[in-house]
Amino acid sequence: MSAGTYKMTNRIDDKFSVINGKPRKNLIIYITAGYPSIAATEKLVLEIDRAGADIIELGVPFSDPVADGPAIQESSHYALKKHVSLAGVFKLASKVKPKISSALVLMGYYNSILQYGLTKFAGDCSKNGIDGVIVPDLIPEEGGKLKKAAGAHGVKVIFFLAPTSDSTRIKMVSAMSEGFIYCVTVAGITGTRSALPDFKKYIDLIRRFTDKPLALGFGISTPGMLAKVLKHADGAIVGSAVIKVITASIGKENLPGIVGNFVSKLRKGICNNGYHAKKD
Amino acid sequence: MLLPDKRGYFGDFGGRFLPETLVPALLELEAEYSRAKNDIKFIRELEFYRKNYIGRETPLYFAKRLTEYIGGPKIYLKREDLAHTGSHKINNAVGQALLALRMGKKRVIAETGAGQHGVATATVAAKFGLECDVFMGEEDCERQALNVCRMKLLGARVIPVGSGSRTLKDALNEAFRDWVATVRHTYYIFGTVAGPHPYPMMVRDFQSVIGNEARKQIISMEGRLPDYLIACVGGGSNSIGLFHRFYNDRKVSMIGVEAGGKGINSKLHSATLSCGRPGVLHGAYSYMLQDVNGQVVPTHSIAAGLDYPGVGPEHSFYKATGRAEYYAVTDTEALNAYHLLTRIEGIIPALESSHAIGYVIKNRRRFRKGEIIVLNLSGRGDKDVGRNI
Repeated sequence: MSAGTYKMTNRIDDKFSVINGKPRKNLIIYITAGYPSIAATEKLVLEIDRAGADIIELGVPFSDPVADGPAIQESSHYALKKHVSLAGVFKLASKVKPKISSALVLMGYYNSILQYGLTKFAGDCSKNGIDGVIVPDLIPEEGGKLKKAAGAHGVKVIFFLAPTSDSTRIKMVSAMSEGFIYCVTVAGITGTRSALPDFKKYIDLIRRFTDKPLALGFGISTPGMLAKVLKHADGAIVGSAVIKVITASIGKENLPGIVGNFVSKLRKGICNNGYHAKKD
Repeated sequence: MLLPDKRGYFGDFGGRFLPETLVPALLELEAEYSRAKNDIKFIRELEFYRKNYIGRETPLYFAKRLTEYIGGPKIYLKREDLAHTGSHKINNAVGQALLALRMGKKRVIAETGAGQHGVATATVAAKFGLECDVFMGEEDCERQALNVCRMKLLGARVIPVGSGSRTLKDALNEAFRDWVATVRHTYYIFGTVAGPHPYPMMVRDFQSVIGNEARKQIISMEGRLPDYLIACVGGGSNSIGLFHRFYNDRKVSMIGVEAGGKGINSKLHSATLSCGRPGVLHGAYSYMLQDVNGQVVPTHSIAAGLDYPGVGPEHSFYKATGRAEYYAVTDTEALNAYHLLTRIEGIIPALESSHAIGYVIKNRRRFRKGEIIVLNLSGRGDKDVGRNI
């Protein structure tokens, strides 16, 4: 891909491109934009990309993140104190996107997007190299307007499934979600957990209704967990664990390097288990 | 009667904005509620507890000395302060507890600001043998300490919330976070007419008993409908409870009184409908207090139960369509009203309800002789004694 053409191509589908009949495995890394600063986030994105992430999720800080546990809540409040706004996140995205091969996805609560204006938001996503949007408090029944606006600009809207979702909801979410489906591992909020529940049945149930790629998130924090998840899912999302690494290293000069190392280890966890995980 | 549509919208306002994990529980609740409200057994049960446990109907009391003091309209007080536990919150808590029992849930959770909804929930949990956790902002735990004691005495666990502004908004966030993880066995007794569908509709229905009674009472006492309904608005449950039955009585004016805090130009207030604009908070599209980027802004009110940056979607609809008017009354005006009513009527009102009284005092020239006001005295003020006098 030549520089500057990212505006035209949505990278999410590339990342989940089918190999031997199955989508390739993806490592998806979440960080809160502006935590601990916009300048630091810029370096972090480059380092996380280099360390082998396939998709990078940039969290747009919100004052009342009801779907998030303590780690992401605190990072969000920290960023808000530094007046990080959606406009600032777009600026950051446009700077880093040409320098990375990862797909770039925004994760933000619906009110931030609504107040920005759905049409303007979709246009600015496209202009600044955002491939997709994840909105934790938006369900398919309410997501039509955003999807329409985003669709006009080639930006994908990714919806959620939860272990509580029944077949009716699985069908509805599968029909709406683009790029992949964000499958929550547990009924709960984001945050690291000592163990993951048995999610095989849940994944198998979803696969009966859709062949869209499935990415699992919430509670995944170690290479071991990642390997387990990717045995069944097409992508694994690591968020709070990364935030914790950042929190522990704030003020250190080699913050991006430390976080990069953490992501590299996650990456190796995938390769060592023999799943197709080679980065482009 | 006016209903939200199938998707939970009152005109442009309402809906369901929250994590997917909770949607199945809300759909289940919606289905169970629609069965229950048409089930004669449920209706009779609710009727039984209203009469024998809550102590309904509550009086519609002609406040003679307040009327003389104001010197114009006749003022009637709907005495929700006399309901069991001391506020209107019990009307909703009993209804939802009966639903929780029907659904086989063993644990209930609630958010609370002033502690009145927390006490009501702890009360029904004790009565029906349910485990109960109440989320309450740390600041509110301090300023409504009496209610914290009452909840604990009733066997509930009070979980102080230290995040954000440490008030009602943050208690709601934590209650939602708990519920996402416990939804399979936990029922969330939501305390106001906000939140995702079906809560605004359901809480409204349970609180409408206030207006249903008041309408009959005023007709029997005065032979006609009132000219004004006045009630304080935080999330909006006592006011919708009074207003709703009168929706089609077009000649009855409705006035919602918000917390003006230190003044609506001071940024230290909770006057959501007066100063906010629509957005998504806590599960619904409704008016809210926010900055240009859609971040929720800090609020203030002397009344913990009004100290909230959101409001129920039905109120937003009433405002947008002009069916009700909304004004703000400051801390000082509310406090003066609190003292006045106590001294001249022998009724200590909650600081929340004092805002409604404060509006009448402040705007006495607006009302004419011979006009009739029904004012919702949503709760009693014992909880507030000692911290503001």
